[in-house]
Amino acid sequence: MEIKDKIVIEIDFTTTPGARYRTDGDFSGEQFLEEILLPKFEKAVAGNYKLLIDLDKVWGYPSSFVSGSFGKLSLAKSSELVLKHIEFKSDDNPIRLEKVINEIKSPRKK
Amino acid sequence: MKRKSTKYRSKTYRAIRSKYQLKRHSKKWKERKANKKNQTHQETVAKQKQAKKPYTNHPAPNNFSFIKNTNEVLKYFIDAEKLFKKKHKLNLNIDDIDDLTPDAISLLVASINDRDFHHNSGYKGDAPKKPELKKIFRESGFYNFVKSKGFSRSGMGCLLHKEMHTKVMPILAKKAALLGIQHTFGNDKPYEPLYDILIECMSNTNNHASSKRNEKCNWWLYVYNDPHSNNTSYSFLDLGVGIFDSVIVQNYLKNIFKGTMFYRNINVVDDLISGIIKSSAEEDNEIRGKGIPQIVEYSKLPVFKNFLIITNDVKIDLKTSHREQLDHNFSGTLLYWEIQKV
Repeated sequence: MEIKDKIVIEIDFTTTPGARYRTDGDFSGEQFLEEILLPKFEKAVAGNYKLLIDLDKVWGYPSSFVSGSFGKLSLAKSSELVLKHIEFKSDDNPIRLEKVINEIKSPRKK
Repeated sequence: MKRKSTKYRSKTYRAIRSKYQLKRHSKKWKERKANKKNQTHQETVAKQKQAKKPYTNHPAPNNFSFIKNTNEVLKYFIDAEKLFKKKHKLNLNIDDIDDLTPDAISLLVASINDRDFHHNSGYKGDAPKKPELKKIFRESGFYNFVKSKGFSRSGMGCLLHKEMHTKVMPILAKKAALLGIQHTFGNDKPYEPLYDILIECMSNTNNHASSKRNEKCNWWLYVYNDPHSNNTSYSFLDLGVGIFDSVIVQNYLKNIFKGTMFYRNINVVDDLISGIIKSSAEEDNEIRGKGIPQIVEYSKLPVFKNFLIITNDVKIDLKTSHREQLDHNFSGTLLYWEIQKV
């Protein structure tokens, strides 16, 4: 499947991701999901292409942010569909890839 | 819109005034006014009386370190609160202490900025006499948060922040992380575990510090760069109800222990740090509860020299998994850690 769109978190969202909900403060997972991730993901599914997400040059990915964005997307759309249409990139820190992909594969608490 | 005539307006005005004047001459009105005047007078007299009271000396333990000498320091603050409640004015005397750690500074500054602690009774205090401790104390930024005629300056390597809006503040987390990274690692590169921990601390306080749902609690962050080493310490503190008395944990315990009250907080530490404590009514319950396990996982990294949680009557050392039953209850939560170059 071809990559036709991308999200560079550092440019399109922030270098300092926050917590889970908008009510928690700035740059929450909920804000990222609703404003950027979900619209682009739905377009990718409708157009049958892949969305590339660049995770680099960011201060961190707190678990509440990852769970409130990627975890929630996975619960709503299924992990298979999410991983079919999203590809991740992180040259800075490969552990990030693992963290985000694990969250998508099993968003519920272990 | 049609304007009302002057005559009509003045008639209405007169009616309102007349009703008001009648009210002012009623017995109920006069009684209320007299009561209020009397109450204000009594408050003024009480304030004057309080102002004339001498300060009671309340010397701090010699080892003024909350992380090392937890029981004694906790007792010091509990006793102070009791005396404040009895309307004693206190000299919170740390003049002669022999040891002072950053966590104790954050506890002191948070306490004296909390009305539930000082009950508006009046307090004073001075910096420690020992020169090295005096320097730490003065440069901590402490004086920016108290009324002081003298010193008001933060040291170059310190950050003392009070968050009143109880929000997760990513920009502050970045600033705090950077301060430690520059001192410890000598560069400006993000260190993800440190940033993530700071965000999770803020988020947990937002969610776990209150005894009532949706009630928020202020938090304090103190970052201290040790000038004698490459280490940086972080003290993250709130004076809420403590994790074990928070609504989420209390609801969980009610379900688990169903009516029996024969449990101790120390026995449910494993449930807490593994993230299985959850409230059944919580939104997104099935995907929440990963913050504390993430902190616990990161705490094992060699970069983190110490990692402690003190809350209610339990002290947890996340590096060694050791738990200590405290003699007193700490109404609040302290997360303390240090980073070191490895």
